[in-house]
Amino acid sequence: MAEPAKGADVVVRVEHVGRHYRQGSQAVRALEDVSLVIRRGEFLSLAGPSGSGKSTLLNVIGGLDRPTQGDVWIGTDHLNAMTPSALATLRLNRIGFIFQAYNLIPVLSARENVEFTMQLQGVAAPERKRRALALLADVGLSDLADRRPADMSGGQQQRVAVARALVTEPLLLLADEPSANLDSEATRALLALLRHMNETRGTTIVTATHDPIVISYARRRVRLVDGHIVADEEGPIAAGSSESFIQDAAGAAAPTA
Amino acid sequence: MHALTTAPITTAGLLMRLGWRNLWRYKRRNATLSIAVAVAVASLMLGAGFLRGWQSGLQEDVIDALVGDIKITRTGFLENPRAALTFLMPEHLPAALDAFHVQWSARLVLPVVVMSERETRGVQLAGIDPEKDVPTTFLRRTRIIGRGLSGPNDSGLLMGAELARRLETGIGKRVVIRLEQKDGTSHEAGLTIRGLFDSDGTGQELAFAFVGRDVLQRMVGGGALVSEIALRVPEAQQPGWVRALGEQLPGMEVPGVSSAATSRLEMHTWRQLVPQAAAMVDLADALIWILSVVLMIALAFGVANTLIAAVFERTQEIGLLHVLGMARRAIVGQVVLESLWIMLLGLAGGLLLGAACLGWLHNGIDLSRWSQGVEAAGVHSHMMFKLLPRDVAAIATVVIVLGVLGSLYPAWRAVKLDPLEALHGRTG
Repeated sequence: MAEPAKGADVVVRVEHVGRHYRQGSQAVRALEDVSLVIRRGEFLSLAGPSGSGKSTLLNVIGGLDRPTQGDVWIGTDHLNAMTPSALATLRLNRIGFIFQAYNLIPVLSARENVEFTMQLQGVAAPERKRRALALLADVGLSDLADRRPADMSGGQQQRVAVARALVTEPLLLLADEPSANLDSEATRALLALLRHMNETRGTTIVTATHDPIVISYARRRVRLVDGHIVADEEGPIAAGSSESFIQDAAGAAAPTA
Repeated sequence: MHALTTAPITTAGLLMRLGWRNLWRYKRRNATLSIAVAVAVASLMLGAGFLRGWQSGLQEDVIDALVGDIKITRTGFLENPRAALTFLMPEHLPAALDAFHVQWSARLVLPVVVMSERETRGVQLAGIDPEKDVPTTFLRRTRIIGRGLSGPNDSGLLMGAELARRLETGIGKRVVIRLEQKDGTSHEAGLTIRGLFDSDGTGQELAFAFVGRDVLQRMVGGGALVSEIALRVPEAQQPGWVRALGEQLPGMEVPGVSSAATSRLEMHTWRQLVPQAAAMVDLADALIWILSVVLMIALAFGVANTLIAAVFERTQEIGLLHVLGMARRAIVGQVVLESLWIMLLGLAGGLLLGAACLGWLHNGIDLSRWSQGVEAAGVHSHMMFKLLPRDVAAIATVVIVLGVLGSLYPAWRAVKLDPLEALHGRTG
């Protein structure tokens, strides 16, 4: 058993993680001996071509998938040892999720969708409403609070999803292909919002993407190929290297924007 | 392990809201199911109303057939109804019974042989006080041809129309009554038929004939003898009455309550006197439950089917609930609540529909065309519907319980979905 995460600022610690499964008669090694430490306040993108293992790694970090080997901690919680119910509670209280398909609950309004996780947590109604409206204002959707998802554009829905993910002030925000269904303008607006939240609230953000625009917004860029981490670059994007990183990270997959 | 948990109270409110809104999301399908539940509930109310009406009629017939709710007799009279086993009314008893403010009557009922010029038949001849006995027996519901009895000294004979037909006699004609007297000797007396009673069916018309009580007492000899004291007491109060009367009548044997070797009188409830009828009355209760459960089990499969479809249609959404951290019990709760909303809407509609149908049938239905057949089944030729609050409660309970049971399998399917697979729209 590996040692638990060390240091108060460590949010995610992934140690020698492998994720293997069978697809028909074929053995798939989605992740192979992956180790990664993510610290508080980081804005990190997991990049790589389709099938590189970036979404699998994101799911393992989010407690949605279990590694077949290695260990994963979120803060001091050792995910490997947790029951499905404990993982659900962890997700509710520590992790925010953003998906490419927005995944809002269709029968709830924008405000009710944002209130959803708070309601599961037992936050009192007036407090829920106050926080939801404040966050909807932050994402520029004050006037659409009572609209249902079907009456909103894709970009608006994704902003509601961001508000829902952030309203509980999670330790970690995981975004899986957040720009996949957005045009480039909506993508840049979303990323500006995420960066704003990262800078003002200190929210740790991890995205899995092959969208060069998303990669360019991250401060740390981890590139996966065939289940292995092949590059881990931190800091502002430098001329030359950043462009090549983005091109490499995006791999063969065509950007959606 | 993580210390934070989900909050059950606020989650319940959320689940109610989700369940209600999902109900309107699949309007046609859920409306169809709710209507099916409503029709089933209304049918159950009609079925229960019919059974309760039959039960009530049967119980009334039994008690009105000179049985009473509680009957006091001399020990041994019920097994061997002879004049020798009649008794003199205890002096203190009328005042004691009057003090209870209960309807009661003291009668002399004996088996006799009635002979006309042409035929002979055995009947129960009841010596009655019309003022007390007519309101507490089937006589209050019969049509009298000729005249009824005017008092305990009336020497006229009142017999069933069907008995008169079989004896080939009628009003104004005399018949001979042969009976056994108190001392065991046989006695014959002539009585003139003053009236005929026409009751619902022919059973009572053939079984009973009536004369003034004092007249029959004189025929039997031995003074103011009676064979029974009958009381009318609501069924729920009968156990209390039995205890109270037992205390008022020391030495009385009350089956299941007291036993005295020296006792001369014994007391029985109508259930003890006519156990077969009591069993049939109880059968109605069982039939209402059986009918409710059978019908609702069929509907529970409909509920399960609808909810399974809903779970599979909303796989991604349920996956999202898992991912966002909704507890498994809350996911079960959401599916169960969705079922409950459907069932409650159906129940409400069904109760209204059933009440409307029962209101329409408040005058009952005429079954006289099949009077011979329905009498054999213990049903009045004019069938009244009757529904008790506890029947409605039973139907509502069955609807809700089976609604929950029917939703458990779909709920289990929802819980077993792998969050990741479900989020991508795969059922795993």
